[in-house]
Amino acid sequence: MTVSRRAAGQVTLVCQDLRVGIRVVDSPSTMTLLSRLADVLPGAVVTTDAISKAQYTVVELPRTVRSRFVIRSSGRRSRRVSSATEVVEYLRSQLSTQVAETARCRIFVHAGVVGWKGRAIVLPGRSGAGKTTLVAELLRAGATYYSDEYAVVDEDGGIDPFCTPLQIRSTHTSRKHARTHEQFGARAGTERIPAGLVVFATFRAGHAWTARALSPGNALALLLANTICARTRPDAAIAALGKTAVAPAFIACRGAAHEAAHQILNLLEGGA
Amino acid sequence: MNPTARKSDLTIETLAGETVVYDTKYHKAHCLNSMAARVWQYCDGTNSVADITRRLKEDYASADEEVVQTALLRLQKANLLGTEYAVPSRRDMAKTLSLRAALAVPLISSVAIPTAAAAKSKDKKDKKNRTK
Repeated sequence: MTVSRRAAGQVTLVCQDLRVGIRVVDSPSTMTLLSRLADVLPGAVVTTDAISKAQYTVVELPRTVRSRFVIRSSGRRSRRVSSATEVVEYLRSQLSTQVAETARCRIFVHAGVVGWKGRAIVLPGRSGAGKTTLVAELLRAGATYYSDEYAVVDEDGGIDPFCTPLQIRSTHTSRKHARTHEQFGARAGTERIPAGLVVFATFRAGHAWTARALSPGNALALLLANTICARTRPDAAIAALGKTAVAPAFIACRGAAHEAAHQILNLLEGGA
Repeated sequence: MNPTARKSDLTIETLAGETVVYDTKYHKAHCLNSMAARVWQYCDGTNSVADITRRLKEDYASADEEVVQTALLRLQKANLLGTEYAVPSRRDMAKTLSLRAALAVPLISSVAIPTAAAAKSKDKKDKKNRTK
């Protein structure tokens, strides 16, 4: 397929230690939307200056093609989507992972995080574990939003905000929909806070809440299993997460998110 | 041959009396409770099982050789002992180990550490829409 090469442009995204060039071919609207990446990827700056080698190339095909946006990335398979908004969402997802992998001064742990009275509630878990649902419920209960994707841990074990839009999964289609923390009546955290509670919760439909306390050593081992750089930088990960793991930690099985949020807040208040 | 703790390809952190070991060869994290960690510490190649038992009894009055053998079995299962040391098999030990020794808390819990790609959030739609 021949693609017009007119109206090509390029931006560079800088976030933490990541610097990525994104090239857009024949799609001025996508070029405009790419500037929105800075809004949805925490701490990111999108610039047309200081061009980096393009790692991603976005090509817009004629409107007659259903999935007319093709995203090519070096060393990976192409992805086709139907709208410029989906292009931005796909890039946000890819780039947030790259930020997590390349950050040198922070440790990224797959987790939802909210703040409660100046302390962080960390909810580690993989995709599908229900951490976003739990984060949303805690926000409704008055918690401050920190992240539904990564706990960003500094060398002293403190948690930084990483406020990406919440990716709420539809119960019917498994498709994710972005929601802002404001839609849950919550405000976003702006300051680093210490870990106050770590809960490794798994979801089981209809299950009553059960929780068992974890020792700091076991909590650290489980945190490592959810840590992006655990294999590549185990020393740094263990040093930082060892300070997070001294917070009270529990392994839990939950049913309804509303009940679980209530129980989690009780655990935090009880451990104060 | 006396038991020897494996020292290579490991990152070790002591935390609240426990020892967390990250195995960079097998990509597993192990949490050793204080008793298991003490046995592992005594596995320096010079101490026999009897020596380790004697030293462990100084720290834990309830410790005996059964407890040490249990700890060694668990350490070996976690790949934390040198391969040259042959711990009696689980079946052999089952004949002699009392329930008390099996439960006498030289505990090691292990968790596999996934690659960054495996640890990352999966998006089914993402996979479905990929093209060559």
